[in-house]
Amino acid sequence: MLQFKTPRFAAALALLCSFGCQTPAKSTAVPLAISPAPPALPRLTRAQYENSIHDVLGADLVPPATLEPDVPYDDLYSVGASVAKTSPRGIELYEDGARNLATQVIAKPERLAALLPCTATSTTDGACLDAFVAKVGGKLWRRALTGDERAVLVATGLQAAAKLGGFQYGVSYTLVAMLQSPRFLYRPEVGEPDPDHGGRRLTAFELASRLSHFLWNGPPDDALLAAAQDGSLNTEDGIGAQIDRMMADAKVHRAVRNFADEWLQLRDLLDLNKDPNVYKHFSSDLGASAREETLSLVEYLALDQDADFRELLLTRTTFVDRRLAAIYDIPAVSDKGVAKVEQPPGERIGLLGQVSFLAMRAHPVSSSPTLRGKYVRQMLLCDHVPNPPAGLNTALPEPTTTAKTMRERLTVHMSVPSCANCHKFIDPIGLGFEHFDGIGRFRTTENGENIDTTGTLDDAPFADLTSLANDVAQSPKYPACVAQKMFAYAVGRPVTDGEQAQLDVLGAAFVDSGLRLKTLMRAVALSEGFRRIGARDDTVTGATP
Amino acid sequence: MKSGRLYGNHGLSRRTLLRGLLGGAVVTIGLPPLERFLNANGTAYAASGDDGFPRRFGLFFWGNGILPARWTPTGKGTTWELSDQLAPLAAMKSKITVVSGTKVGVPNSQPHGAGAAGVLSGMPLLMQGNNTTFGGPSIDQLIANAIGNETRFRSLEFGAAPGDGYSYNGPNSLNPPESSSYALFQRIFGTGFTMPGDTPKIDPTLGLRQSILDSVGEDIKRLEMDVGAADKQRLEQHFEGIRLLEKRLVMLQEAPAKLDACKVPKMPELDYPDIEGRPQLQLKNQVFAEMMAYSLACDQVRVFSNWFTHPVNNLLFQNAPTGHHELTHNEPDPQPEVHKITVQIVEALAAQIAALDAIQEGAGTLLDHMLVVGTSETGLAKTHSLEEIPLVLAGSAGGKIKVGMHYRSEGGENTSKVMLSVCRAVGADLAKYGAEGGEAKDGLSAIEA
Repeated sequence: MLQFKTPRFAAALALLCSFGCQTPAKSTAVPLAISPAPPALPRLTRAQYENSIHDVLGADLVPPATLEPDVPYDDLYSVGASVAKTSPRGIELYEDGARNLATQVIAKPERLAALLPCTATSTTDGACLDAFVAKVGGKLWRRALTGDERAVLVATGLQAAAKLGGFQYGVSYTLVAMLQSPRFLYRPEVGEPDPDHGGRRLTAFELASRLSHFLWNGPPDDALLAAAQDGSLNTEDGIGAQIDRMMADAKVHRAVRNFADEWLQLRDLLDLNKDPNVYKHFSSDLGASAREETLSLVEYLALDQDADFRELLLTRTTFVDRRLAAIYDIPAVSDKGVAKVEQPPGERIGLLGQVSFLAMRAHPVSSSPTLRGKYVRQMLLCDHVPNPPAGLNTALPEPTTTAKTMRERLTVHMSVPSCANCHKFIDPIGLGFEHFDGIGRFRTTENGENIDTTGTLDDAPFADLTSLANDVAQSPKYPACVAQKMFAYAVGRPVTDGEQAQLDVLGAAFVDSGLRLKTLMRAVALSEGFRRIGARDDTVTGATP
Repeated sequence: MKSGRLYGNHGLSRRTLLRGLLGGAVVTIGLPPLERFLNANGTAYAASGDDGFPRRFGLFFWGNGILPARWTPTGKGTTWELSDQLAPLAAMKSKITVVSGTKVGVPNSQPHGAGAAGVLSGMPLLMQGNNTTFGGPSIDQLIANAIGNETRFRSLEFGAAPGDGYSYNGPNSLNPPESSSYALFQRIFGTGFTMPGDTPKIDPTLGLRQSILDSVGEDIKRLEMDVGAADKQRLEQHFEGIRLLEKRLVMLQEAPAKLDACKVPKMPELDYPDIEGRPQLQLKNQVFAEMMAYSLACDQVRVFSNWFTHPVNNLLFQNAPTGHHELTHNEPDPQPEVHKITVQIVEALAAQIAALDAIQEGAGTLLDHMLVVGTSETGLAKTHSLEEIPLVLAGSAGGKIKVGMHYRSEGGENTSKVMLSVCRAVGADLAKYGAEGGEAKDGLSAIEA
């Protein structure tokens, strides 16, 4: 049975070990000692569905407002895509969406003309409809359609054209069919024998699709499909040239933004919930602003600057709108949307000084050192943090005259052994953020008491957010973690135990590049683990449907 | 299959209707509007206590539990008094049964999550790295499998608080609830709705849509041959969804029999915005509750789940000093603010029940012909306790469940026993509910009539 690379430490003892510091091994061995993972069947994420519509059918089309929600696995929706099942309601939504989109396509003659490779000579011009299916179907299904597949679609379209009295209905109903097909909604990976390594690898079209969903978060374009068709994608030069071309395309921005959105859990900001009586800067759209700030910063550092990715934690550059500027107490430079600014000298730096992290990892009326510490462990260092044992009273004492600050209230976590086992790895990190309240405003006192921001990260003491951010950035676990998340995101399925060597190599390459995210993405796309697949897994697992 | 009789009188199968349509001829349903649910003599079906109305089921779920000390009614059996927290149900006391003292038998592997899976599916929570999913279908879907396939919608999911809900078809497959009552109204009473008793407008595209679904289904079957076992299961479920949708398209072409209780409810507002950072939960719920009552009365659906709020939700309830979840952990005992929130939740439950009881159906009300279960993922949220699970049953499912009583489970019986009784009472004849520690093979006989 397939073993997913998921730490499952049941005991506190195992937890201790999981925090041990591991430096990624440098790679020398070629070829890699990996056992490639079995082929996957990722379902398009909602973002990928929308991007497919925009790229193939038209940037001005309005995608469905509701589709079945994405499923997270190991904190990534792109990984959950390979386990997500579609509910009966989800099927209805796919059908509604397909019909609505097809109607939009034929509603504007110029849009229809842009998609049609021919001019229909009659209502039931089968040859022209076949040319349309070959062209648009090939983009939507991300490979050339077989003659049989085209024949079924054309027959459907001609029936519609005749019944509803117009060639355009032939177009719209073939679209309704193509958009509901499993060939569009899923990315099937079947593979073929691998002449270079033995075993199996993705077919050229499957590889093209994996590449484009990784580097563009959307479908392959004509040039990529052509490289798959002519076989050049299977050569080292060919794939290298395609990756370079894709990384130079503006669509890489949406992929990097989407990676950051998933990795940093920024969707949580859409449900941000604060008591406006406590936080007068709160409004229901603050979460969206904060999300945009972080996404803009990642985009800027990784793509515009090709910067050392430790800068994500260390930079004073950020992107604020009026709402965020008010929270940061800095002048707003833009009336609408976010604009680049430098934070003034002070404790606030990097991602961990942004409203996004500080507000989403806090409570409606207070900060939460525990949630913040856990986030640093889990998302930035890839340490496994177990859930608190259920059946435990997790109440924190209310502020009292002797325990006014969060630190004082949290001492209960340290004085009760059952809590201390885990919290000693979490709270001492989270207390470093206590100069920032539950919405990310700077403060130096709480209930009249001065706030102490000292703490420890893996036994190394730090003084405040600035020094903590430095410690996280310098931890060898940070680049290893980014590489691990990036690889999992890229392959769109859970990482398996047999791929550890691959993760080590990628982590080392990332470090060697001076933490250039673009270099890491290129290395992932060129890696064996990205291109090779294992045998199909025919084991039926336990869960009863 | 009980529901067969509803359509048997037409003398026309759905396939016949569809063939007629595809053949180009418009089929006229040459039958008078039927008093659906009534037998040929115009009187209610009387056999075996059956009153002629279909069984229906509603789940009302909220997050973050209760305070057992202020929840549990005093007295037992039919001599009992509502507690502080249950007081909003006073007007319908004779139509509800409160079951207290049961516990969930699955391991408490994750705060809130394990309880939700344990109550709603009877199965242990499945871990997926840092994320989780259910091991099997939730109760609403178990019931929809049995009684949901004769109506336009197999089941409907909605809730005043936005969120993904816990209506699971199985692992990693959620039926997402609708949080906009306006959108839900359009879905039920907009295009595609035919007033029972009227003849549907024949939509020439229905046949085309169905033939597309046929070919999509065939393509799924072809793809299944190329994938591993787990992916094959996922495609199987996709195929099943296609099949259900095809069935629904056929249903749209039939003339629905007249139903006296059916009425199109008032169209909701486009939005019910938060007021000073606080969601208008009660108003939203009221609108949903009435809409759902008419959806059932018009026989558009027989199974619903109302996800009023979610586990771990930190919503700001009216007058509460902070979020619900935070209060459950941090408010000192006896947690008066948590208590007030719980009362607000029970008010919402009461609103759902009252909306169903306000609709006359035959000699009784819609509520009498169905069963509503109100529950949460935990007893005392402060400790994530899986004991003292709150359970309010309303309506008797046409006399199958005893109402007007408090059943106190002194020994801490498995919550799954109650859920099994519920499933069976509304027509899901299951051999068991749940698995492992959450498994029950027998219902709770004390509440079965």
